[in-house]
Amino acid sequence: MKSKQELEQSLKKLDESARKIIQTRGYTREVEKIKILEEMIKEQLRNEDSRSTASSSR
Amino acid sequence: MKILVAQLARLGDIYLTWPVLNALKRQNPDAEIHVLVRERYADACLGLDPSIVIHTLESKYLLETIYSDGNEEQALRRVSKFVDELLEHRFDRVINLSFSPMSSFLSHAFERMGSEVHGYTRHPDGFFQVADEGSAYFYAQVGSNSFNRYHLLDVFALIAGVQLESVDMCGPDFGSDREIPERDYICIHVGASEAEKQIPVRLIHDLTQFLCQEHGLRVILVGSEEERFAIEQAFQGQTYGGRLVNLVGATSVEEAVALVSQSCLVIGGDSFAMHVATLASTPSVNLSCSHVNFWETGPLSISSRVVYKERMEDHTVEETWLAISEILSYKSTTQFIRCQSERLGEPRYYGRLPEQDEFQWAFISALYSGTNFPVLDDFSVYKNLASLAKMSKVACETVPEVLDVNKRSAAFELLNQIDTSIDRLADYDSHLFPLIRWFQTEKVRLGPQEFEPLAEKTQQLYESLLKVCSLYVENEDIDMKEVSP
Repeated sequence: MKSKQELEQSLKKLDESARKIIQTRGYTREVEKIKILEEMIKEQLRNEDSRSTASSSR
Repeated sequence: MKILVAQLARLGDIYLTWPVLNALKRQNPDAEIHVLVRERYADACLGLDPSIVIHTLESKYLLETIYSDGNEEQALRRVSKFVDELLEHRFDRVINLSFSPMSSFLSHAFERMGSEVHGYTRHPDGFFQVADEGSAYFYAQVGSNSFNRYHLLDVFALIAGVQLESVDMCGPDFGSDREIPERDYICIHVGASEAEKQIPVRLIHDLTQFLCQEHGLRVILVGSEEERFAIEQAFQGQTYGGRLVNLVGATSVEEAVALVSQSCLVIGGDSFAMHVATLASTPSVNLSCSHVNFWETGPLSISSRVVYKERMEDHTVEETWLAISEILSYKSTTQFIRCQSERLGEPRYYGRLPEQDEFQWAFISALYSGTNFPVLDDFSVYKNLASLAKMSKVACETVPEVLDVNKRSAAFELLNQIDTSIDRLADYDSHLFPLIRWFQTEKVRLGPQEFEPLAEKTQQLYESLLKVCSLYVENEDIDMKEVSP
């Protein structure tokens, strides 16, 4: 079972992948799926309280 | 037509979505209605119209390889497959009632394919977007720390574009197959999604003892596995001569729903039991506190009561019993907060409302429903409004300068400072919160576009903000030179 730190490492890697794609090809479908996965991980870190950050979404 | 309703929040939110699903089915009899929920809460869909197609988000499966060995690529392949399979349905409309960052990216995936989207989504550049007026209202004004008084049910209906009718307010019907004595027991739901919203175990024990021993009533306790130990410790096997049945941690969701629905009265905090009771027309006593906005998530079955205290620990057996006895004896007093379920689309509660935030609610009504703006009689609020007005005026004068390449950098810096100051003002003075949240939300909605039209629309927003402030603030106070952040 991964620790919080290790999940955050996964998040960083995914974020970096998304960033690289955005820089070269813009906000693509591939980026969108990476973002979905990123947000799912963040929800787990927040104990699946999916709505808690809705109003600060960016 | 194919319609997808995405409800990726929790159990209670799914039950709150039932009336919307029923209304969509009623208003679109030939449409194929689909709903997307988390697998963990899929039991909340049991009993839905059998024509409604249920999809589940299997978080555990999708994230499995991340948890087991940090394999992000494999997880991404699974997420891609999940998304692509949903996209293949080619939904005409997607109604996102989840209000989360994750669901906003999912909504946009559908939008790319041509679906008409309601709810949270993304701009084409990936930045957050609210697709419609109802979602904009939710983003700006809804939440436990907000001043909103519209029930979530009504906000959901607004976003989904449906008119709710009483026939839509029905939930799962498990009663006929169950060996549950009908309407001769009180059901107490002991759980809640957060600790601050939970009914204290001490109160559950004392209240149950009081109901069973003093009044000979039958009580059934329901709750999840997480609450089982605390409740067992509190009651130590006590049944009060068989009048108490402790089923905490011992029922499925389906069984808990049946028990709630079949009771003569439900007692609970801010939990899914309130919404199930609403759908079953079972009266409720909702024990609420300042961590919850009961206007948004309170019970809606007629004759329900909301008992409001600052903290859950402040609730007492005596006052809870008064609310219970009012319901059981069909008495009506103004001692408690009551629901007017006929008032679809309006604030649902009346009676002994807590003294709170009338100015802010009146401001929300004025901004969104066109009612009169409230009278201001607090000089400190006036001063803060004057500050807001001045900042708006400076912003109006600065925005055109971003079109001048020589002045652009300084103009952006000043506008950023102004926006930061405006954000802080909302935290500093709650009277200004609804107005500033409206303004912030409208800025979010602007989206990526050519520089000049974006500048023009931004200026119009600041002008609108200034116009509202000017309803209260004298011109000479706006024109004063200094701007206080």
